[in-house]
Amino acid sequence: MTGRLRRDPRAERAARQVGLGARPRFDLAQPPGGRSPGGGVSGIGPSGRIRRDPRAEQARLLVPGGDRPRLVRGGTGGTGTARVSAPAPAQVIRVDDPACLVVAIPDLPDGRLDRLDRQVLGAARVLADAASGAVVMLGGAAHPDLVQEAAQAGADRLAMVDTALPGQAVLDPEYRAAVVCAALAALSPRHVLFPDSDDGADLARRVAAHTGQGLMTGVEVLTARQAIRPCRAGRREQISAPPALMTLAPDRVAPYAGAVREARLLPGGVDPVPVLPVPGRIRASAPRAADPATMKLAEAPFVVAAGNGVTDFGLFRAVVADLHATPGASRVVCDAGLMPRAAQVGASGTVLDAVCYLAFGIAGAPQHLQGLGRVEHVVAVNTDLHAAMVARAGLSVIADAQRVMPAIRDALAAEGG
Amino acid sequence: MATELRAVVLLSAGIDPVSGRPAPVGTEIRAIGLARALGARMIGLHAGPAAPVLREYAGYGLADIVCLDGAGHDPVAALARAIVSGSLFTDGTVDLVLAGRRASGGMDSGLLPYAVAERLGWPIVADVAEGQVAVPASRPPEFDVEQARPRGTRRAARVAAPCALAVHDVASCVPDFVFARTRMAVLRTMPSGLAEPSAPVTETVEERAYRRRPRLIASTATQAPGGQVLVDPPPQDAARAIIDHLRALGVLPPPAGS
Ligand SMILES: Cc1cc2nc3c(=O)[nH]c(=O)nc-3n(C[C@H](O)[C@H](O)[C@H](O)COP(=O)(O)OP(=O)(O)OC[C@H]3O[C@@H](n4cnc5c(N)ncnc54)[C@H](O)[C@@H]3O)c2cc1C
Repeated sequence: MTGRLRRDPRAERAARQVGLGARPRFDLAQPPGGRSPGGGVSGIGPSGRIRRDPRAEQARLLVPGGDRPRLVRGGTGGTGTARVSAPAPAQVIRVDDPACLVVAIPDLPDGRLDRLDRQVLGAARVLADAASGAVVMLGGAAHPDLVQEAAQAGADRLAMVDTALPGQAVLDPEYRAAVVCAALAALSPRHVLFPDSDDGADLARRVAAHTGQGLMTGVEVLTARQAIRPCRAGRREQISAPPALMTLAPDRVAPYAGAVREARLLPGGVDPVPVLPVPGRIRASAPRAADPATMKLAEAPFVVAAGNGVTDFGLFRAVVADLHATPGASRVVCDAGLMPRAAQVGASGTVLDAVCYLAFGIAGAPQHLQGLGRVEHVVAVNTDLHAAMVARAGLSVIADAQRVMPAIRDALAAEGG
Repeated sequence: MATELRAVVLLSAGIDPVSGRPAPVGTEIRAIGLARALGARMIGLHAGPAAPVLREYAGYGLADIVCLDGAGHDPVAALARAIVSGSLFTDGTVDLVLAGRRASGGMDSGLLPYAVAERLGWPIVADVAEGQVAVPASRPPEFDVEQARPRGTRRAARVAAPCALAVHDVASCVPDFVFARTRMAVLRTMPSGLAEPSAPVTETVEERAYRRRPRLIASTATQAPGGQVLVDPPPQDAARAIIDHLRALGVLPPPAGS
């Protein structure tokens, strides 16, 4: 005999039997030594040692609520189920007595903060945090439900100033600039940040020209101590301390990702409402989308292009029209006269600024891929799995373009009808 | 035309972004084209000494170019002064100031046209892609311009003379280049009339060679599923996959029914 215990599985099983029905039933959760008197965690194994069930113990330590599992390991365990904590209220950061103000003036296309707007608020946060200041978001009077969004994007204060001409459908950039100047004069911020978008940069330059304050446009690097922007045709760069007014280039500063900010509402409106010396000198209407069929290739957001793998150009044009896209082509196709020269994508054609590029039967020669410089999403339809265009694409379909194109038309037609 | 427009095109001594050699700026060439499209008589105005690169603009149809001497320290004041002085055109005042939306070779901030317009007290419309004289003709003339906005959108605006227009890179009004005109062009030099600065202007801004820095990567939410390949799918499946992918990217509008 060794000193080792010999288990008798049959006897153990018999000890777990419950009831004496026609069919034997077993309580396998019961510890093999039979239920311990307190019904506690641990059973005594056949060896006489306490047997632990780590899974059950962990389940008892689990604190309910919250979307991530949380365990409280402080005590000896076993009290877990009694501990019901309400989900902790989200921490809101308040700045009550800011040393200075940093104003961010987002564009708010469609009344929401877009990607660049969030980056502008993130940049304002960088400057404000270094000086224990507060970020003020200016604008958005027409969109009162913006508060929550602004709080998440890092705004401590919200000055909902109405920059639209009262009671008029036309936009007056001069009026907008005058309102912003008046609001800024009331706040006297240390820095003002604008997005370097068309509208944001226009406003920033108007404000700078009107107030005579220093403006740095297209800032690419921004820290609390320095701002860097390209100059001299992008061959050199300017470094200086962050000036009073800045426009921030897209995708250069990360948006704010910390805890929710207060976004306290400041008294909205400017008092007195500025009066332009000559009102209504510029009457701008709302922007209207261009017709994709006639849009310039360089500006088009969605381009569908044909290469040497496309033989049926009537079909190709119909697909392009159905997809509401702008037509493009490779050089081979343009050389053959099958598509106009203006449609050529590539080094000797047009360099695209599109969001998405759908290429039918294009091999992806280097000269052609040069034209896709900034395109983020490429879709390729090609019979050759090893084509360079397939390597560049986010979605590739290895199939005959002449068969995929009618299928796309049919699928779109089925949806429409 | 009895009442011909008188336009001033602001010119800068640009450099080529790739080679760094003197080159005309694309938006200013388009500004010349816009002045022609509006049927204006034009004079080029450059704040600074006469530079050979200015002749290139003459090749695009700007026969008369005026350089303002001694304007280097305050180009805005010098340009505004020359524009209101009435000495540019013999037969009247300036109706229109045209400029590129942003220089290429200087500070490139795009602020100068705004500062000049502010100094003159004129309205300015930037990012102009197209323009024409509004009908019916009025006095002072009005202009209907189209402002370029991202992704091919356009915004119409109406503004009355005298005004300033800053031309966008997407404007299609590029005039033909004629080499012989660059030879025939006259560069006139006029005194800027500004007092010399009492103290030498000190550049406080540090400059160094440009360093390319990576941009933030687009958020994963909008990123396509990387490198998905469908090999020989049935055409219907391929069409569905492409349409769903385009919808996820937001370039294809959702089906009409939903
Ligand atoms: C100085 C210079 C400048 C150039 N500039 C440009 C430029 O600006 N733009 C440009 O586009 N090119 C340019 N080129 C030409 C370039 O090098 C390529 O020759 C050209 O892009 C190839 O066009 P392609 O992909 O349509 O044709 P191909 O190279 O013939 O490729 C056709 C592709 O279609 C696929 N295919 C065939 N049949 C089918 C089918 N039934 N269904 C689906 N797929 C099919 C094939 O697998 C292949 O991948 C330039 C060349 C030079 C020398």
